[in-house]
Amino acid sequence: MVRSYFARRLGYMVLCLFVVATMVFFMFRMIPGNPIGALMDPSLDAEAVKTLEQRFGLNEPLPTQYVLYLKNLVQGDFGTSFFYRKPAIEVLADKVLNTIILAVVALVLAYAVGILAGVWMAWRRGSKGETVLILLSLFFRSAPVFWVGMLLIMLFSYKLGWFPNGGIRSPGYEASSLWMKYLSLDFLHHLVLPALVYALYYVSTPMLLMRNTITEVLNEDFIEMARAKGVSETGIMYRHAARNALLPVVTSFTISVGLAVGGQVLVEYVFGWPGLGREIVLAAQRYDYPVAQASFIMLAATVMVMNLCADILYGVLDPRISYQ
Amino acid sequence: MFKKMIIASALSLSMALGFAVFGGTVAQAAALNPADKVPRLTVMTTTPEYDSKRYEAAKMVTENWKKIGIDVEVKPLDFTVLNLGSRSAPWDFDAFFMTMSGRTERLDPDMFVRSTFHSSEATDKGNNRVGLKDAEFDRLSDAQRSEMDPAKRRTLVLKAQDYVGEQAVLFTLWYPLQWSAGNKEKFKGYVEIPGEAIYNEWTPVMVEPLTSDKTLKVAIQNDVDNLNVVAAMSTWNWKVLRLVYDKLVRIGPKLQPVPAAAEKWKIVEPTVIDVTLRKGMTFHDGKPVTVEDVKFTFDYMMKWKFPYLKAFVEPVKEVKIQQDGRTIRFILKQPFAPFISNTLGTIPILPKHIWESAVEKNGLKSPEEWKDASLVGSGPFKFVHWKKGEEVKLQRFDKFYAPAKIEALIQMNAGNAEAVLGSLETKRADMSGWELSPAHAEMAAKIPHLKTFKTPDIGWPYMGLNIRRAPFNDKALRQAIAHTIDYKGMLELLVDGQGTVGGSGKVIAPAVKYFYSEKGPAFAFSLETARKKLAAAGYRWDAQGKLYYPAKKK
Repeated sequence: MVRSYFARRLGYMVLCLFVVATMVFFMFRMIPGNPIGALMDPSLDAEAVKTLEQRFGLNEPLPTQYVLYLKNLVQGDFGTSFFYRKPAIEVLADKVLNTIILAVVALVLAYAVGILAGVWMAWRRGSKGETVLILLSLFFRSAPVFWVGMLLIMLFSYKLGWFPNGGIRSPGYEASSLWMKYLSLDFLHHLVLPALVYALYYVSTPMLLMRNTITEVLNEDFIEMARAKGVSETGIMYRHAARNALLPVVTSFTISVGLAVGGQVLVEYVFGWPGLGREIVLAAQRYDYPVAQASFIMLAATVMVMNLCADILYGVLDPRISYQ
Repeated sequence: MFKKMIIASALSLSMALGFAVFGGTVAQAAALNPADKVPRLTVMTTTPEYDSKRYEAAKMVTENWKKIGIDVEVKPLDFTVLNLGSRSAPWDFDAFFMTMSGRTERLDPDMFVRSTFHSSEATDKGNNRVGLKDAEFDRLSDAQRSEMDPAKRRTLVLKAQDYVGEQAVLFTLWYPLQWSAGNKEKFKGYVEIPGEAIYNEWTPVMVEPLTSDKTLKVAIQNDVDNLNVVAAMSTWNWKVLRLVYDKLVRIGPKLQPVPAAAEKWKIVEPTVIDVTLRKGMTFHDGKPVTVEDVKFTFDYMMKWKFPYLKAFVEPVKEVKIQQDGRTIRFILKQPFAPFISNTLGTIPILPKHIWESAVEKNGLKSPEEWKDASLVGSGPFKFVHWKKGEEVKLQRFDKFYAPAKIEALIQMNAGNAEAVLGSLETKRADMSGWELSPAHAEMAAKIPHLKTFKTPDIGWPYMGLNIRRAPFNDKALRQAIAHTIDYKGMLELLVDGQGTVGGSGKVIAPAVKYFYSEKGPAFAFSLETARKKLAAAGYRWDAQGKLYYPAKKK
């Protein structure tokens, strides 16, 4: 039963990926613009421009290009970046770790704080503390990320000098190993501000979601039952109520992580963070089709996988759910 | 009664005046054939988001065209569409606004006065976007290219510019200034070069550290993209590569070629150039730099025809090693004036022992595909690392014949313009690698540890006319149109007066004094003159003031 469920899910995913791959292929080519124009310089003569077109395979008719693209894709080849002149997948691989680390740190922070605060808010409904938290979280949700980022840079970097104004490591910093690249104090020092801005933006989702679902759960019989058993108020709050209210939060978390692989363009821009988001935007601006295609396919795949993860987690969190 | 007469006479008087101004258009109105109306023109420019100045310039110029009766549609286009579209058949536009950037090799006038207007490049995908096909211009342009005597060449370059200016096909709008800034407490001796401001090939070797921190950190807004020396195209790659690889000649701070890996050169005949190699040079891996390497480099580039480097080695027919073992003889197909400054000043000397076998060893179709290409050169700096998205680091090469005073150089990617300025302010970086916007330059000037520089650019924004089709295939119309460009107004309004006004065909910027055509053809801004010239050429206006072709001409 479970096996056929997963086989079916996998089949859907492959089908979806094929549709996404086809869509991105044609969509990027429908946007007015072209890769040659992005690379071309007046010092290239007519012959050199035509040579470039041939090297990139752009002189072939579109259907031929499409068939070749699908053929390569099936073999796991996303093509060679026009701009970097190396495999598109390598271009993305250079940046993916930077993005994932920033996203995971920020999202874990946002969800940890958000969930705890959300439960607390449901318990203190109508209090001043709750109002303040709602206002704050909504403020950071609706304030433009780049603006919050700029404010924090102004305060903590220019005025107080506590944190660097951007970048991922100090210029010239040499890491002794891959671990040190991401665990050194220097890196963490650079991580604080962008992760904070990112987390502030996301914190309202788990916080308000948690608060609302708990409010519903509170009227359930088992809460009363727990009280009757003499479970402490904190115990009821976090062990009984929170666990039952967690499902929507889990969904939103997994989807957030899935999307986060696409990077947080604005945070990356403001903090000069060399992440995937900016790379994807640049690829689109440069008409670097292979990189743009690879990133969107990767993004789609991650969201699908994370969705699957959410469904599996449901089963773990709520034994009543089974797979058919 | 008397009153009526006054009104009537006033009316007729004003009508008469109207006739005088419009050259009797109203009288002809009945005779105007609708087919003779000058069609609505298509003008291509960038989107305001990409380059607001160029977009505004297009608006300003075409507003004046409307005033003299020409309907215009301004099309803001994506940069890549504009860039490729303006040089591709079927050239479906009448005018376009582009910018020519000021690369070092463009200090030599050859590109601006040749491929931009030469008939051989007026083809599909060619660089002659305006479509000029003029035997006299080709003659001047070819002559300057093969004139090895600088003074005579200068005369030809000036003539070529004035000639093309007279044709009224391309108008430089203004010559900009570039702002940059450097930390003056940590380093001194920044070198300014037109077109590249302070981040040129001289600053890294000339600048002197004032503190114990001897690493010069240059903040830019981009990452490098490809450090394979035969495939690299973008400016950022070349800023690094020319420090890692030595060249025979470098363009000095005074804009004249100076010996680099070459000890000296001699023009034996206009087509024969002898270059003597400096003694005792080594590559970064310890192997000596020999004439064999130089010969190999040129042969290699002639064989593979790499898109970016091809144009530089094209004039070379043969490279021979002379008997003394130190001299390389270049035999050219025909005399080529930019040979010393551009060819010798651009081609990086490759180590034969590495590149010779690169294709076979790595199983490549072309050396361009070598993605982890060797970065062993013989230049003033050794390559240390490229951290993707972050920085490129170079270390001083102590055995270089003119060693740098700094120990290392870091070209760091700050990510955006604000971060470049911010990095300068927080001392994360020492100098800006690209121009600062005027607003940022003003802020930089107020930061006590920074010194700001204002350097003339050698590139320029321009308007080109498509002369392949009506109406701009008519020289008389173009010469009238030439009076509709308000150079002063644009300079004041769009760049706060910071720079110099442009002109028709003035493709060499004033910063390149030697070849700058100071006078040039005078097409002073005046709509009145434009109208008069149009009337003189037989153009007509209808009652609404719309422009019509001269009778029996389209």
